[in-house]
Amino acid sequence: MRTFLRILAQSWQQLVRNTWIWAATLVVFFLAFLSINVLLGANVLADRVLDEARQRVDISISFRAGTPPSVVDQAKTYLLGLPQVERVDLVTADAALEAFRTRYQYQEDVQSALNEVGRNPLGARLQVRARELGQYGTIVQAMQVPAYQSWIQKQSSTDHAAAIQELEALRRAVKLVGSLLLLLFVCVGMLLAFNAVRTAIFSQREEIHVMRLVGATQARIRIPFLLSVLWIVVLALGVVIGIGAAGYRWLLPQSSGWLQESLFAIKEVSLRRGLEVALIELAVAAVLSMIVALIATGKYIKR
Amino acid sequence: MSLIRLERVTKTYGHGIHALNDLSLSIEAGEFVSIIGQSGAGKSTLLKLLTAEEAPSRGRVLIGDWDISRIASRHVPLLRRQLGMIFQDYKLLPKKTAAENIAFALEVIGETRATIKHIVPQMLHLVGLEKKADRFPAQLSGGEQQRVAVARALVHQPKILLADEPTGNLDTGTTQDILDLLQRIHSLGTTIVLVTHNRDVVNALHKRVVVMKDGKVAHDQAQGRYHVSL
Repeated sequence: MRTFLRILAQSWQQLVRNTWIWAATLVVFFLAFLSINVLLGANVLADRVLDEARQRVDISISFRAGTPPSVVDQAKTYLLGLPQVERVDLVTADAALEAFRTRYQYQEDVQSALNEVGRNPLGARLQVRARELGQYGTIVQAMQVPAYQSWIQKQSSTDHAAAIQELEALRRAVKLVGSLLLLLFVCVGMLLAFNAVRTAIFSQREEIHVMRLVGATQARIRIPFLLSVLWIVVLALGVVIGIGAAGYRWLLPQSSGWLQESLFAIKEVSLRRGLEVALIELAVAAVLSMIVALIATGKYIKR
Repeated sequence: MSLIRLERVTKTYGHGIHALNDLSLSIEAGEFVSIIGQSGAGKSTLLKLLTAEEAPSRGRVLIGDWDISRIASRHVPLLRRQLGMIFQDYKLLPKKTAAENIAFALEVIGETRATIKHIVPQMLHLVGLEKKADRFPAQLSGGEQQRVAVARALVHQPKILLADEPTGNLDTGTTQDILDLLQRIHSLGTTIVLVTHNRDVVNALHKRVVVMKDGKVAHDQAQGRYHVSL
């Protein structure tokens, strides 16, 4: 324990002694963490937007007035039997009329026209939701059977599908660009970490020489350099989390509407998976930077 | 059995330069040996082989019955804890005080705080610097800095002290002080290998003198003197 504390203190001392090079490394590690977390946040929001959009997509199958309810029920059962169908909601002719009357309750001419007809001019309606966006075409085709075709007045679909597909394509593009940016930051970060360790070794060559002279093990000489890199990883991640939390606190009272909902969504995901994500990021960054530091110390610290 | 033994050791660097050429040498426990010779005679290479900084191209280097010719990297620290080393430029850490320089040698091998607190004052007392424990190297004279280096080298109670031109930067009076200190350490049972150019140092010691020339032992006298012809 005492040896570990000495090594820990020495690793911190190395950061202080070579402030500028370690600060540069810290900034790039910070940018890498920031980009990955912005990417994750954007992904959460994109998922949310897409989910909402998906909820609004369905097919509406309107039956002619007077279609027997048994036919409509059969059609519903038939649709529910299709693997592509997630949900089918039935709006009966009476419910459709009721909704229509409610919608136009202040338009007397509509109401008097309905009264004049004397019967329900509307048919039943089925609202069908597919499991996936691309499956609506299949469902429409599946309804082209003679048993139902003569009873169906029209099939209409809310045309959000194209917009959703565009949104998904945009998300994929953002993900790709973000990933490339992240990769760039990781590469630059690793190069900087390597250089920082090299510089630290150079600036402490006297100390290293003395350590070798008095019989310090290779591990005892090298571990402080590895820990220095680990400090940087922890600090960079800490700063990103700190800025994220502060940004949230600052932005929330000033936000409203979509932005506020988005902030709540990000907070909800952060509370649920934030620790896990932070630990994974920490572990990956720590392992990568340790490897780099090991290579640097192996190359520049001789026996 | 000899404490240090080099058996037909050759050390060749690139381009076929022989720093040591079929050199054989034995040093008994408790001896005080001065190794002298002109630049390029192989003295520094000899010390590097003893500290395992270099490996011989041919032959064997033994410390006691431990063959360190092909020593594994992980065993080098163990070897170095049995050796003390001092240098012409002292190699003290400028940002540490005299006491901290000595303590550092113990810290890096994992000694407890209590042990360090116990040993460091003893070492400072041995080299006569107990009143300057808190001075930084820049605040000490050359002789005092070398004393700190000696204290640091002895902190592990090594069997062998290797001294590479320890008086090279010192004036005559201070040189004598350091020699007196080395002789006192020798009288406590430590084997000392002194590499020097200084004729006065060798002549003052009246100890064994090994003269090296072209990577070989040219003369080996039990109570030698530094002749001008050398």
